Amino acid sequence: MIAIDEGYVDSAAPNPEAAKNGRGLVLKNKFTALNISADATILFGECQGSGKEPYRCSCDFARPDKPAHRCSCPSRQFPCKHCLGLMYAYAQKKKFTEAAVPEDLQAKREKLQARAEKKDADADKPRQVNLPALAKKIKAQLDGIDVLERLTGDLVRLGIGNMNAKLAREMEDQAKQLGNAYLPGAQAALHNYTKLFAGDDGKFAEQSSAYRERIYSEALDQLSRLHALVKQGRAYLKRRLDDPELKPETDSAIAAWLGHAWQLRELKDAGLVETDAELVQLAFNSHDDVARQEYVDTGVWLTLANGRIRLTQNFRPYRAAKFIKSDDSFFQVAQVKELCVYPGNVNPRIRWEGMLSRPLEPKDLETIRGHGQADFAAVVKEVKTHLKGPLADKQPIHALNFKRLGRAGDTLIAEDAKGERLALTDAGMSEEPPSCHLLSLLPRDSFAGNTLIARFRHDLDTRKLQIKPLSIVTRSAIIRLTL
Amino acid sequence: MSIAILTEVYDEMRRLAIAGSVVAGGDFRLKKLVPALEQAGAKAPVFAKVAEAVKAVVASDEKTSGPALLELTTLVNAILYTQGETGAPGNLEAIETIDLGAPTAQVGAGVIKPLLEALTTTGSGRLELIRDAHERGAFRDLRLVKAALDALDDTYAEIGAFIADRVLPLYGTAILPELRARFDMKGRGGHPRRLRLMHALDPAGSRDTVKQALDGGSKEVKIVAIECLGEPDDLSYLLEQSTAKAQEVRQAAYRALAVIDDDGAIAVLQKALEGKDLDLAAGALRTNRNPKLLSRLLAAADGELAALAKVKDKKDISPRITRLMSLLSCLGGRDDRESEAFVLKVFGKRDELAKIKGGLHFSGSDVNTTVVHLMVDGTNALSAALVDAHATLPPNDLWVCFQAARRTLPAAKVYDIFSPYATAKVDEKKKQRDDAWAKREAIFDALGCLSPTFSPVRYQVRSQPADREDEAPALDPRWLDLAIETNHLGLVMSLIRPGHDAANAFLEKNFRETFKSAKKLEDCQNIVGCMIRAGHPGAEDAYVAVLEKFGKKTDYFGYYATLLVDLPKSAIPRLEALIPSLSEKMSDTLLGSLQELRMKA
Repeated sequence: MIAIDEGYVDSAAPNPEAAKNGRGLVLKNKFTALNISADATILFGECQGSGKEPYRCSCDFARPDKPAHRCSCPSRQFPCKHCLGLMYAYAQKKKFTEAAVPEDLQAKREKLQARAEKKDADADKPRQVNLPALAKKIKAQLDGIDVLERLTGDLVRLGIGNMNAKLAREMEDQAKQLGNAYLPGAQAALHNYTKLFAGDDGKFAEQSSAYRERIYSEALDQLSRLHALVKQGRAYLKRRLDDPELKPETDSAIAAWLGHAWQLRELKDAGLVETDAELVQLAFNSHDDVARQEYVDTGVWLTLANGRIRLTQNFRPYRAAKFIKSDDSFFQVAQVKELCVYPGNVNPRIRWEGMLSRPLEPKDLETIRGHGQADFAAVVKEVKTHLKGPLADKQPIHALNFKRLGRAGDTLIAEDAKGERLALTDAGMSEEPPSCHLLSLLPRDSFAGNTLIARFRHDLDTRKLQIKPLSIVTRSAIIRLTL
Repeated sequence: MSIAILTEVYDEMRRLAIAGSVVAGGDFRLKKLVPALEQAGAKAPVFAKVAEAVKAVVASDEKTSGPALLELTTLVNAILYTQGETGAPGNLEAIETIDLGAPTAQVGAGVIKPLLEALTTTGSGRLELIRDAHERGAFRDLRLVKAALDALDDTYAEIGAFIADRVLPLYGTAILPELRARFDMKGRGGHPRRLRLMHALDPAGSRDTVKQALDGGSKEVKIVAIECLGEPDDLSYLLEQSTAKAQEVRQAAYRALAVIDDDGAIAVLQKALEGKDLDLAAGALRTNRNPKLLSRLLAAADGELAALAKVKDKKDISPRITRLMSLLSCLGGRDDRESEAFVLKVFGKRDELAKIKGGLHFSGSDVNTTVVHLMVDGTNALSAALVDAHATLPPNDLWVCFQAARRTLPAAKVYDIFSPYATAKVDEKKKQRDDAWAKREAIFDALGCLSPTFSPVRYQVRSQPADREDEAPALDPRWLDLAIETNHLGLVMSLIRPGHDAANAFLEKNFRETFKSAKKLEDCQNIVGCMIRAGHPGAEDAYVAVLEKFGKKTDYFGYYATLLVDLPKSAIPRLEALIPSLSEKMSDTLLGSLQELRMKA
């Protein structure tokens, strides 16, 4: 049995309320049976609920990095309060009776074990694809691309200046066809355009002319993106239709743009996996994406071995937000056995199943600083090359080793050892809260010879490439400037 | 690369995209750029590509114009993305910083987010969360600065005030730029707070803003701006504002003039003192220490006192008394001999004043009450004089006199002077009509109110942690004996202290009686609370017994649940064992307090 303390259970809870309720069940003596298997790999018990029959819950630690929680209650929270209560009871050293694992539970365990073994075995086997079904899906997607092309054409013919709240609403209704055509990514891309004409709350309302003037350039860029998505998406889907054996493309993010939900196995099959990775979170934010109708928790992580900066993204749709555990800031080093990396260029998405952790040490900070790029000109060149792709992530994140952070007039500046400068701004980067103003609250020694974790953005109106500070990595700490 | 021509192309295609691509076909402004693009294309092929894309747009019809325009946009944007300007001219200067003190940025999003929500949303319970976070030093996290600044405009004024007074000063001058940027002199709500804060953080630097606010600010901002004045240069302006039409403006001007040592300022305050603005200027008159003004103040008060004795018409009494009381209130907080002598003089006339009846409003007895309060908060000599006169005071003033005695005399002396009132023979039937009864009750009241443990302390502490002051000196221990002797349960509960055998026995006896006759949980909660505070050996049993008797029948017992936090931790298993027998709702309430007890150091 792994070591379980109350902190472990707290962090396993999907939200604080579930943790409180789980703890309460123990205090209310709701558990009528507390058992542990002879090999101490599973906790199981019975918890009295509001009904006649108690809920049967269990926490299976046969795979310590991927515990399995099972419960007969109807809760959609995972783990539910009964499983949490069971773990709290164990953490609080309540008396667990050694008992044989019930048959049905043992059957489930064996099934899970078999599934895991099969999964491992299948990992080496080529995957069976239902080709006719896939072809049918691709045809539907191609029809969806036609719809997207028509809608984009309508928008351009109409003109950005003639867009209004009513039309934006109608366009969103029509965009539902894209979701039905297995193109949720394309649907979200269209929403990104229409939401430019909505307020911060995501509701459409007539905007002032000054506000509209500010969004025109961004709107034009979004239309150009939709156009590129139509072209590249159609070409990609046609290639896949012509060759049904063709795997989703891993050289670019086009599959994700069309809404392909990558399975970890697919990523592993495609070789997009790093083993025994150690990661440090450099920044974290949780924002409300009104276009996607979901909350997005984004972690910015650096892999200690290779210095690549990648993102974890936890999507919590409004409708199910209560049942999905939100991510949180992470201040230790995550040790991941298999790190799966999504296709993408600068900051691709990453995911993993199960991790261990260890404390962050000064040598880790030195490693991070060692991965920072000291030559701003080279970074800028890299960023510009990346940005010119119409479907590229327009706000890439890099680690920059600056010589000085200072001010020229009202402009905050990061300067490298060669005197190359990058201006700091919050403009146009609303995913995280503003951070520039926080520099004036930092200790003076943060401004020389440290590493800045920065998000780049090219402003289409001013034609300036500027950065937003997310964190500063000093010799002793990671100072987070955003949330 | 000739970016200028590309920029022109971008501007034209942006114009067409705004207007709609249907008007793009044959667009002459775009067409005009083709030769220049072709010329540049001879050197850099990418321009030739742009020229082709432009020609396609110009040659397009209604059907093809959309894709053609988007092709051009994609191409031009891709090029412009590679031409983004970086850097910034000018000398690189150091960023002015202020060190917030402790390392700050290591708080998890899960912790900081509720606080951010409290600062940026509406709803109840936010002030307590913010206060709590402030006490724990959470605002040292620099990521909260912006939200705290925004909270100045909170719709709940108490939050805005708390943030302005307690939280934002933590950040010092670092927040000045943001305060300046957001300040709207025509605004209300948070804007007066911004101005006050800017002035407090940087009086010299915010002087111009203050002056501008004086000229063009909203009424609320202007009042704060006036209060921010106080330099000799401001005199003429303040003198002018002292005649303003709006009362609040005049009041602010008086306050600002009070700190300027100038004959003109004194003259204005003197005029207010003698005129209708006396109440408006009372605060300023209390603050000012100019001897001339004091002498005018005393002369005016003396004049009113003398005139009062001569008034014949009953209608004139109340206005005169009101004015005399206002003048007397201006003497509060003074320690000079002249003021002291005058207060004593008025106190000496209390019998005469008590006889003056003033109709519906104020009478001479109200002047006496004002004087008594001045003496309680005044110099030691005034307090001593008040205590010396305790036997002659009416019951209402005896209560105040007891406070003065506690502040100035040793606890034993206070007991010697005032305990006879508590043990005096009284007529219980006459009640208020019996002077001895009224005086005894006044002393009991004073003892009860002064004790921090009389009322539900935990609630007080939670709701007003910052304002609570418990500075009263200890009482003589004999008071508790007296309370037991007089069989006064309320007083025992008020004065209880741990380790008093007689009190413990008294409480045990009373608990048994109360418990036996109690019909609901509330009947027992005060005495059980008292036993817990006293560290009574039977407190745990009593708490459990009440819970066992009434726990299943009671719908809500939030206060009773909070009492258990002061029980010893050894009581936890016993209380936890009770939880299954309680209703779901009640056990949830008790769980919160149990958790608090568990977390206690």
